[in-house]
Amino acid sequence: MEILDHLRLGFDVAFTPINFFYCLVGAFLGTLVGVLPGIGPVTTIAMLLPFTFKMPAVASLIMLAGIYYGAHHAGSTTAIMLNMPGEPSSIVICLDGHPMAKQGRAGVALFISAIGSFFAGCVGVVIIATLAPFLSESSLLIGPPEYTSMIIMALVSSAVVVSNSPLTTIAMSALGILIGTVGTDVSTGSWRFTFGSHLLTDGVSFVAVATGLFAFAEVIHHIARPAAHTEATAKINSLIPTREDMQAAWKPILRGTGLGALFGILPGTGPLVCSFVSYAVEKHLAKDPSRFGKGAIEGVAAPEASNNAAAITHFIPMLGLGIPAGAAMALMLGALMIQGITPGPQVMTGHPDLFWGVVASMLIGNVMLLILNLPMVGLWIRLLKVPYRLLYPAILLFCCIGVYSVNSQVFDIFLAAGFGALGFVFKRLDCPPGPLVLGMILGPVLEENMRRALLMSRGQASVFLTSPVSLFMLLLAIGFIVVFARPKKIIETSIDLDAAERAENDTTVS
Amino acid sequence: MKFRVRSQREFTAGLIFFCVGSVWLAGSLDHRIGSATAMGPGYFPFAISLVLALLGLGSVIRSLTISEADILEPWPLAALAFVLGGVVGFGLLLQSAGLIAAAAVLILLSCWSRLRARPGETLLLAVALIALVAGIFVFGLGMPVDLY
Repeated sequence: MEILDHLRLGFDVAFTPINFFYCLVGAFLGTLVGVLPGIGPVTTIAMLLPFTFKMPAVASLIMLAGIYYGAHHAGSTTAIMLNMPGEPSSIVICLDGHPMAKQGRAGVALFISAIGSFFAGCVGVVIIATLAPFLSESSLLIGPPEYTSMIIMALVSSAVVVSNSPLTTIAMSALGILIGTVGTDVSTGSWRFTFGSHLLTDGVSFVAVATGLFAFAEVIHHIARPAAHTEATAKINSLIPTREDMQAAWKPILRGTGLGALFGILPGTGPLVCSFVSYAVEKHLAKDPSRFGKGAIEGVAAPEASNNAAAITHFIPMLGLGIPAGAAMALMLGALMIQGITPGPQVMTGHPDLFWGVVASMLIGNVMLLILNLPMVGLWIRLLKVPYRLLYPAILLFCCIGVYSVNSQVFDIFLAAGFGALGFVFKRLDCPPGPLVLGMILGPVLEENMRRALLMSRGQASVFLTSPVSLFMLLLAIGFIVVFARPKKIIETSIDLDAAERAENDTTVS
Repeated sequence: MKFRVRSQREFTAGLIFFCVGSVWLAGSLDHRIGSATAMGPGYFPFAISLVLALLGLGSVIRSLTISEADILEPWPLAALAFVLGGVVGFGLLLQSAGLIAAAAVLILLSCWSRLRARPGETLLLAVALIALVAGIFVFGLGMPVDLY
């Protein structure tokens, strides 16, 4: 049984003391930043990126992944308890989770969301284990033209789903690609856009860009607009759902898991989309849709399950193809590349311990989260009261030292400051920084594959249309633009937009 | 016919993208463009910056026509200046004056507005944070940075 062998290898790796420790650290840190106001997983990963370079690759990715899903989990907790989504993808959880809490059923909502995530996580791991052998075979079908189109699709889809204006967000990806071209051109060796300075010959420091765009810009944004203080409104009575609750929730959990796994495998789509979609599906299928928004348990179970399933199956495109979904994953990919591991189909065969270890650690991490979160919800909620004025000097200081420590280059600190200003401007203009980071990571890969594809086709651009896989990817990209060009319209029909917008104002969409 | 900007955000963003794209386009002409079969170093940047400039132009046009109007709120330039000033100050001082001075400048500048309202708390925070990072990075991780 190949699948079981893979999983056993994974658990062997994940249960070594050092990896287990970093899994715990990641889950803990993730929960912490998920509840602390004004600091999210992207900022945290950007801040910790430099420190992971000295760690073993497996341990660092296990920790970063732990921060990613830990923060998400905590985001749902604050969404349910306080109507404050810690994460953009938890906006949906607010819609029914908080009404449940107001009815005194916060414990049940938390329990269902935890069980839903855990179940979806397990299914996600099984799906990865089943699909992985096929994936490494199918990668033979993916040549330069297909890869080029796939990257274009991923850039377009991840850009259009996060914004109101598809043009400006796709422009953000293009800007990211251009920033990625700074430095020495790999195939000709000439310096591009370095202003003749040797400081830029290795390209723009990825850590400096990420720190500036996410951490610095976020800090400035939060100082300028102090977050509203929210008091814990809900008490937790009983964690254990009734028989009716379970009966109402298990089908949505199954459906959410299926949808999430499907979206997760598709490169480039973030968790935000699949939680919205699964909420809409549940509302559509419900006998009495009017219950939604007033504490329907399906509205918590399905999005939460789909989210977590997607988070885990996202590792297939991320590690297997090198195409991340969203900013946090792009940063993890950056961490891997700096460690000297090139993501691609060869990761699964060349670094099986990395791939399977991380996948297995996510299951272990989810169990840890259950233990960390459910009994101590009250404690975590109290952390929300930590004033931001005590937090941000620490964030700034850690970031500065982190950026400097990568290359021992003061220039990188100035670069980060510049990108901080840029990030702040873009935040004001409603241009999300995620696509820029994605473009910066994927840009060089895109250039390389485009060059090869056109070389092989003797300059015929039609090669992107004659290959069926490539054509499919490009059509998918166009489909995403058409569908999401008016995202508000779609959401409006299925979700009470006021609640979503209110929630959005409280969070920081990255 | 008079045009009216309906979405100030999208208009500004589009203008920025158009300008950056155009400048980058001009910059990529400094490099050999080559042909599709033999791409020079300028080929890919040329293509992408053209896309960027066109997307910027598209946003500007869209900002004149879309139905949802929005206006730009005033910019909190003070927060921007103090935070980034602190970061730049840190960079300037780190190698010449050492970690302690650099960190102190960073914290005090970025907390400038609170320094007068809560001087005791801010100074205590600065001392605690400097002790913390000195302990972790210099003594713990052995980072090659002078303390002073």
